[in-house]
Amino acid sequence: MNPTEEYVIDTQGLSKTYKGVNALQPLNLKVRRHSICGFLGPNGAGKSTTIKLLLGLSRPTAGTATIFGEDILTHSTDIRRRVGYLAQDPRYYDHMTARETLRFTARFFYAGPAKLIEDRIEQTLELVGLSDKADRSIKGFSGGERQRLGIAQAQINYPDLLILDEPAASLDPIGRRDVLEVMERLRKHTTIFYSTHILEDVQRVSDTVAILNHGRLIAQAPIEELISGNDGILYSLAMKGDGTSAQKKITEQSWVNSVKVASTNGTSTLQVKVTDERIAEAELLRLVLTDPQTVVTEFGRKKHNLEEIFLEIISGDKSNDNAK
Amino acid sequence: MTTLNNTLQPITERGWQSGFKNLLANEYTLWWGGRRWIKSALIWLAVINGFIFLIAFASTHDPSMTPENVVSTAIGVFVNIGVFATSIGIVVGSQGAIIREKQLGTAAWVLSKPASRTAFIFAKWLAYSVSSLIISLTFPAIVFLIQSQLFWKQIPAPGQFVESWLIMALNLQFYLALTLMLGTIFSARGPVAGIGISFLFAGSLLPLVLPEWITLLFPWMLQKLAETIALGKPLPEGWVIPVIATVVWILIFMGIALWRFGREEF
Repeated sequence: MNPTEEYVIDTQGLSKTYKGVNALQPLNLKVRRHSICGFLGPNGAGKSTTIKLLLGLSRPTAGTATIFGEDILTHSTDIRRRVGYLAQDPRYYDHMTARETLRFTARFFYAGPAKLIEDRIEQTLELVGLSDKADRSIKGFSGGERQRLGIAQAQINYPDLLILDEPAASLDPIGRRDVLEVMERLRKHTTIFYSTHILEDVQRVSDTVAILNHGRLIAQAPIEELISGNDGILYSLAMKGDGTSAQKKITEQSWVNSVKVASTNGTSTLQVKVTDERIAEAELLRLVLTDPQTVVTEFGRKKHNLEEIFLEIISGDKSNDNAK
Repeated sequence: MTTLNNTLQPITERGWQSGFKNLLANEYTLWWGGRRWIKSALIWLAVINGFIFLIAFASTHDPSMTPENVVSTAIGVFVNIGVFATSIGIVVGSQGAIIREKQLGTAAWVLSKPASRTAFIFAKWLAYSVSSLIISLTFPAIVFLIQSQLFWKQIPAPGQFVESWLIMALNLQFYLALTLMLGTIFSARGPVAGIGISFLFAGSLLPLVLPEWITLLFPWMLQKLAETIALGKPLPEGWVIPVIATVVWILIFMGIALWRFGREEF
């Protein structure tokens, strides 16, 4: 597979300046085929700007980008034939019903036959749970219903790439769960690139994450790599009682870098930084359990919560900015 | 054929035509899909043909007026009211055509689909152009001919009447193109309607102070020209200049509209 085929989205130095303000600093972003890429960042980080640039709704100040290997400036319409898009605040024609909205959308992609278009509309309405409201004017739709309609219209053309801007932002917990389920169902057929504030959702469905702050890409990695942290190979071990003797024993090992102990309510938690994951996996627990008095309640490779990582990265970026 | 019937057939429109048919169909549905066109048509009939009723009524109380005089007066009134009212009507009616979609976000939604910006503008222009010509000029013209036959047992010379109608249509196209262009430049309706209507009213004042050759370069003379043609009077010298100039203005306005909308940031 050549790089063009491997990456659905590939930007090189893509940037946008609005009236002297850098909304997006040179961005080098790659989104792999058939991945779900969560695009994170605080408000005003440049997420929607990036999405609009990719869709040709806005023009870059500098840089280039390709989607499916095609240039976003010269082949925008061709690209949009293969893309489904849900805006952050989706707006449709209020005089239309949900079915009419989907019919109007479908007619941008398909010339016929009418029967198959209608079948596709029906199928899509069912997917997002709007079948019973299909012939109601969308003027009276709630935020959640509009969002579902947004997802429906975004994937009516069986897109190869689905771009969703805050797809779950205005939804209640059930609506959010439904949207995530739809995304998980669609991942078999499509690449999904979506921006969000809800880190829990990202951790649940994404396989890669890109973090944007102040218009700058500050992290991009597979989610597993990100939540493993950048503090080396770290194991966490919780045991009953005092952990000092275990700490001493572990520290003596050549494959151990450092051991930190924290004690609360009669339980000691050891954070063990190691140089060799394979040896640690095989030896660490066994080493601690050589003392028959020791009761280990938890053991495993330390994984961070995405929220911790996100906040750490964002605050680190802020400190760097302040230092400059 | 089996394959054709069993799989969704992708749209084949490419380039500027991408999405054009769909956008145009949507615009036509807005104009003709509900009862809106009936309301609009009734308003235009009341505005334009209502005056003809008044003339017919007044003429029955003035024995000095011959049927020829009355018909000439009625033609003059029809053309003048028609040109003036449809100019205001098209500015008011189309002021939100682009701006409303920019403000509501529907333009951004539509343009995230495989629809070209040129198709977006052309679909608006064609739908507004054809629909307003039918509703505000063709229906009243047909009713005028019926009124004329009913009240005075004669109708204007068909050739002259059609030529006059074409001049009125050209005038309407000018104000439509101007309004659409302004809609791509501004993001509020105020300046769009304000500039369009001010330009129309300027046509009553500026020709009095500007040299004639400048006046001829604008569509202000079309009203007089349409009346002259409809009444079968000799055409003034240089009558073709405002006609050609108006066509050129329309092309310029549409060109600017396409260029400006092509650079719009959503």
